[in-house]
Amino acid sequence: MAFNSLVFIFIFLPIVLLIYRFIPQIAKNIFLIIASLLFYAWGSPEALLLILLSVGFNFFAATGIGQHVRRHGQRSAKIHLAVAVIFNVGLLAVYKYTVLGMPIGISFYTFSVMSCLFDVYYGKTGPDMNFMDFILYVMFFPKIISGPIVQWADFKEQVRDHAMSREGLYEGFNLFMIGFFKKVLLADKLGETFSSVFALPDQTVGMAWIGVIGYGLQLYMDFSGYSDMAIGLAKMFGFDFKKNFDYPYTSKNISEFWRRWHISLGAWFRDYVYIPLGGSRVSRPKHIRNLMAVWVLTGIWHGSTLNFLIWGLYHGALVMLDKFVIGSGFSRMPDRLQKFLTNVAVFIGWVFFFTTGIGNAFRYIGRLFGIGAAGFWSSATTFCLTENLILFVVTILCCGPWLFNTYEKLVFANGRKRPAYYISIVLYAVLFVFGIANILGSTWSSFMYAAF
Amino acid sequence: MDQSGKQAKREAMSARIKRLHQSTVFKVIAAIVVLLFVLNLVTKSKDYSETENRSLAKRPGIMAGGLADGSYFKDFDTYYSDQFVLRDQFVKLKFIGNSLLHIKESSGVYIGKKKYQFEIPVTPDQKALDRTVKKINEFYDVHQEMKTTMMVVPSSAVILKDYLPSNAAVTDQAKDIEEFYDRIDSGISTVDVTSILEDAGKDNLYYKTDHHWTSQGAYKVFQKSAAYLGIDAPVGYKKYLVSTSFKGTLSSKSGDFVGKDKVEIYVPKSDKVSYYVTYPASQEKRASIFKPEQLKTKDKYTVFFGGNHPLVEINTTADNRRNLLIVKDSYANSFVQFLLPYYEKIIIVDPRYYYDNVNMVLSNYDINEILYLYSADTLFTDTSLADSLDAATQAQKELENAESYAEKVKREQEEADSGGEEEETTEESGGEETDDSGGDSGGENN
Repeated sequence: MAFNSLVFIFIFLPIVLLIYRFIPQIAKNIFLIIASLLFYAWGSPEALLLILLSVGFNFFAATGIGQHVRRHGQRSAKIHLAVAVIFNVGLLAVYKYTVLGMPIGISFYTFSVMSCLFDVYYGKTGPDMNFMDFILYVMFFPKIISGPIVQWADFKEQVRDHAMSREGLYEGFNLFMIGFFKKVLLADKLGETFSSVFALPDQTVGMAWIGVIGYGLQLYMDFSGYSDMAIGLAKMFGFDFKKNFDYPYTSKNISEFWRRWHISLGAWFRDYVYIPLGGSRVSRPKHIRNLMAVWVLTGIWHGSTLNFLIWGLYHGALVMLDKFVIGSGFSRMPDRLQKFLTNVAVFIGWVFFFTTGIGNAFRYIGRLFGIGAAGFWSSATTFCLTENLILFVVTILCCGPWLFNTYEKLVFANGRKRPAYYISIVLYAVLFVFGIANILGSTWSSFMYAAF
Repeated sequence: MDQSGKQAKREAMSARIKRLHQSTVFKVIAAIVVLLFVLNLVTKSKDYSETENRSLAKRPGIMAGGLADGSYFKDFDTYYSDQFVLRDQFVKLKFIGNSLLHIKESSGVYIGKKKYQFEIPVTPDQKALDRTVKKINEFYDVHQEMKTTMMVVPSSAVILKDYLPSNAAVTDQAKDIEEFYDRIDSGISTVDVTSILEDAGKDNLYYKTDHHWTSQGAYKVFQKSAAYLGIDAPVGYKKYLVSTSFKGTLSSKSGDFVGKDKVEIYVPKSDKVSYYVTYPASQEKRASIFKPEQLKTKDKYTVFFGGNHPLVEINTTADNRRNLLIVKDSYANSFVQFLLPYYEKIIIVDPRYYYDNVNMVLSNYDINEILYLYSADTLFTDTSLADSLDAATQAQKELENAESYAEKVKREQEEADSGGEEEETTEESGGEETDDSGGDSGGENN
C-alpha cells in the first residue's frame, strides 16, 4: 500500500489511528505489528513470507551474535556476523540482480536488519532483544517500503517508551501533509510533464537541460516527500525518526550533498562500512579504498544496472576530487558559485538514473553540451519550458529553506492569529482536495470506440 | 535582560500559535477525510461511467485465492477509486489545477485557448505515404475515364493556429498536404481545403472537444468545392441543432471535460430528391443518413451513419446517371449530407474496414466518379488505402491482360485460320478467356 493511495488515506490510516488511540498501552505495539503486516501484504502478499523469513533468521542471528560477543568477545563472533551478513546480502542480491521480481521494500528492510546485526556486534546495544520489538522494527509500516533506514540502536530506545501525544499527532500529521503535497502535487505533476518531454522528438540542448532539471526536481520531491510522510506518520504513533533530507540542493560540495541527501542511507554506509574500514584516519591509499567501497556499494544499492554503478563511481570520483585535489581552492569561491557547480555536477549524475543503458546516458550527457544535439533551442523547447515553468519555479523555491522560513514568519511569528493564519489553513484544505483530485485523475481511463 | 525576556515571550507565543495551527489543520483535513469516507460508504455503486464510457469496477468478493495472490487488494484499489464519490468532479478539478499551472498538454492532446483541444498533427509516415501516392496514381492510370477528385482536410491545429497553446510544436501539415497534391497525377483534381477553411473564419469549423470537423466546416468546403465536383447549382440547406452536449474523443483522450460542443446537421431545402441508405454488412436499410439514437451515446459524431462502415450504399431518385464512389475516413461522414441531391448513387468505402475488392464496387454500381476524402492525419499514416487500391489495380490489370490476351488470341486465331494449324489449342484457352471477360459489357451483366 502506498501512502498516497486512496485506500491508505481514507480507510487504513483513519481506522488504524482510531483503534491505536483507544487501545491500552500494552496492546499498542502488537496492534502496530498487525496493522503493519496488513499494510505490507496489501498488494504483495507473496512477499510477506520472505520478509518473515528474514525477520526470523535475523532475530536468531542477532541474539546469537550478542550472546557470543558477551561470552567470548567481539573477535570470535566475527564469523557469525560474516555468515549472517552474507545471508542477507545474498538474499538481496538474488532478488535484485536476477530476473526474480523484487519483493517490495527489500533494499530497505535488508539494511535495517543488518543494522541490528552490526549494532549488536559492535556493542551499541545489548544482546537482550524482544522478538516483538524486532518485528515492529523491521515491519513498522511508515518506514518499511521506502525508509528512512532507521538504525536498530535508535529504534530500540523508543520502542518500549513511545507515548502517543496530541502534539505529536498534530505535528506528525502536518509533516505528513507537507510530504503528501510534495509527492502528489509537485513530483507526480513533474513526472507527467517530464514523460511528455521525452515523447517529443525534439533533442535540442535546451530540451536536454529541461529534462534533466525536471527529473532532478521530481526525484527530490518524490523521495523527500515520501520520507516526510513516513517520518510524520511515525511521529503520529509516537516515534521520532531523524530527517532524511535536509535541502540537499543547497549544498556547497558533494560531501555536503551526501550529508543532506537520503541521510539515513549515507549514515548507514558511514557507520557500518566506512568507519569500520578505518574511515579517513588511515593512509591515503586506504582512505581512497574506503571511499571507493562506499561509493560502489551506494551505486549498486540503487539499482542492478551498470548505470547505477557508474553513477556511484561518478559521485565517488567527485568526492575524492573535492577532498584531495581542488577542495581548498573550491571552498574559497563565492558560496553561490560553489552551490551552482555542485548542483550542475549532481544533476548531470541523474542522467545515469533515468536513462537506460550506458550508451544512452553518455549520448544524453553529450546533448547537454551540444554534442549530437539538434540545435540549441526550438519553439518546442519554449513550449516545454513554459509548460513546466510554474512547476519549476514552485519546486525550486521548495528546494531551499527560504520559502518555509518566510511562511513560518508570516503565519506564526507575530504571536497572534493574523489573516495569514487563516489563509494557511484554507490553503492546506484546498491543496489536500487538489491532491485527491490528482490521485483520482491519474486513474482516469476512457475508452472510445473508433477514434478515427 | 528585558530584551531577551521579550524575545523568549514572543517565541513562546509563536510556538503556541504554531501548535494551534497544526491542530486546526489536523481537524479540518480529518473532517474532509471523514466526510468523504462516510459519503463513500453511503453512496451506491455505479455500474457505468458516462464520461469514461466504460464499466466501473465493483467491490471484489473476498476469496482465499484473491487474498493469496494479491488480486483482491488490487481489485479493491480499483473499486475504491472507480466508485469514489464525486469522481468526475475530482477529475475535472485536476484539469482546473493544470490550467492554473499553465499545463497545456495532456496525453498527447494540446489544451488550447477558448476551450479548444487539439490532436497533435501527425508527421507523415514517409514510407507509407510514398506507397499511397504510388497506388493512387497507378489506380488513376487504369481509371482515367473517371472524374477523380481529392480532398485532404488538415488537422484543426493547422487552421486554428491562434487557438493553440503558445509555442506548441506542430508540424507544417499545410505544406505536407501541398507536397502530397503535387505528387499525385495531375489528372486528379485537388481541392485546396486548407485555404478554404483558412478563409472561412475560425469559429465552428472544428469541434472543440473532438478531432473531427463540424458540419459547418464541411459545408464551407462543400460550397467552395462544388464546382470541382461538377455541381453547378447547389441547392440551399436547412441547419438543425441536434445536440449541445457533445464531449468528443479529444476530451476522452486528455481527460479534460471542461469544454463541450454542439452538433448540427444539414438537410437540403428542396425535397425533389429522396434517397435511402443501405448498410450491406448488416443488411440494414434506412430512410436517412442520420441516426438520432446515437445522440444519446457518448460519441455524438456517430449521428452521421452511426459511425464508420466498410461499405455504405445510397440510392437516390436523382435520375442523372452520376454514380459516385467516396473513398474516405470518418471526416467524410459529415460531408456526405451535402452531396445527396446531386448523384444517383453514392457508394462509400472505408478501406480500413473494407476487405473486398474495390473493382467489384466499380463494376457493381457502375461508378463513374471518384472522390477521395481524408483527414491528413489518417491519410499520412494509413496503409489500408494503398492496399485496397493496389488490389483493385492488380485485378483491373489482370482483367485488361486477359482482354488483350483474348484479342491477341483472336488475332492469332485469324492468322491460324488462314494457316490451318494449331486450331485446337488456341480455341481452348482463348475461347475460355473471352467468355470470362466478356468484353466491356462484363460489368453490366453482373
